[in-house]
Amino acid sequence: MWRTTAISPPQTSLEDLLARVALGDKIAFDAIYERTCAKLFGVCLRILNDREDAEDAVHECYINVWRRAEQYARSKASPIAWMCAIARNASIDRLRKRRESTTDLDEAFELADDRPSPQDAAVFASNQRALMACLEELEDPKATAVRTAFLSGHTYAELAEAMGTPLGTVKSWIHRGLQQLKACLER
Amino acid sequence: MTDAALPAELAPDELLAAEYVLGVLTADARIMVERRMAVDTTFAHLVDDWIAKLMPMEAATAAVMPPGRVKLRIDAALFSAAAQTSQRRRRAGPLSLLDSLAFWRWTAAFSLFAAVMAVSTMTWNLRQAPPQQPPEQLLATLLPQGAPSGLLAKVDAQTGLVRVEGDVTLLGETDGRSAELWVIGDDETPRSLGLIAMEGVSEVRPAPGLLGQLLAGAILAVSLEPEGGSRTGAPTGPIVALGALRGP
Repeated sequence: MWRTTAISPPQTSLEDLLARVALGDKIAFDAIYERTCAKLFGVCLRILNDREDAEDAVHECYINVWRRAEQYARSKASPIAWMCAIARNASIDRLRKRRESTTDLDEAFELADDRPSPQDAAVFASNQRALMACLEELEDPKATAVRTAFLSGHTYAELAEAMGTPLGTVKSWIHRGLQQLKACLER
Repeated sequence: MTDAALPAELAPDELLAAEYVLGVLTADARIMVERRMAVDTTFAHLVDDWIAKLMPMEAATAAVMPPGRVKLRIDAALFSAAAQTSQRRRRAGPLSLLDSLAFWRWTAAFSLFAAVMAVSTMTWNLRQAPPQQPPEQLLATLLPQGAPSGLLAKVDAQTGLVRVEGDVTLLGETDGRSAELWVIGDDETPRSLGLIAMEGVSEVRPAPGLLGQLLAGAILAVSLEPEGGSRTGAPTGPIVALGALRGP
């Protein structure tokens, strides 16, 4: 399968590449695509569970990366986290437009128990370790509710239905989960 | 941990930002949050804080290589002349409304692409029928998305001769570059058919091994390459026009 050729030297950081994209540098954009497309397509595919929709979402995602690169300078997130958020937004918006969701929630539940591979963990560096430690501190069902919500991209109502739990209970798990996560991460 | 030991409740804005990043809000609520982010920097910072906090959960997500056509479509949408004009306009203006306009414009572009693909698929299906009289000529209109003018390509089914007509200089920055014509078949790999002139009519005689690629449903594309053509054997510059081949 054909792919674009990586043109930038590998030591160029994603931060630098995004700064160059903000100035309209197409070669930097190609290099960003080369390095991140598999990760971001993976994110879209997990949320949408449909290759065609995921292709549209990842397309929109990179259009937005190109157009919003200048906004990255103001972000506290790592470049890959910032780009993942863009990919998630494109995917979740598509998910909401579907009349009937085809995402398999059972699959999302299974994913919710996954632990990252060391290689992926390195991409997100120390933030990732901190978050995982804080998620460990959360007891179930709050931890599962937060993870499942994040991985599936489903609304409270969809989560409540899938979990067979009243809406108010699911909301309260997630609100308290987020509250505890924040306290833990800012400790 | 008991509820008594819980930290202070999240402020309403903080909770809303977290819910947005977590992905639990309804479509309407998401639109409201995005509008607010565009005008309220304090709130936008809250959202950004939660992106930094929660996004590491994506570390576990398996990477999956997207098909090559995804990048071709992105380049066609961003770097064709028509796309660049509207983009400059968008970059200058405020974000939220233009963003959603842009979103619909892209959606329209997708639909156009999908329609082209659907036509090609239909043509392809027809081709699967028992062999009949082969069409004498295949046609492709190579349009940059949203542009009023594009290129017209004709393929002589007997000889494989490709004739391309149009003005490439209207489609992108062509100074010091060469326009290269590509065919993208079922395997999604672009193969060079040769260089074409920037203006007027060009005739390209593809290598004999490529004649089998020039079937209805195949995509023709033109990219801007260094003078003399791509040195890698694959497009390296922007794709300024693409279109599917169909029967007459």
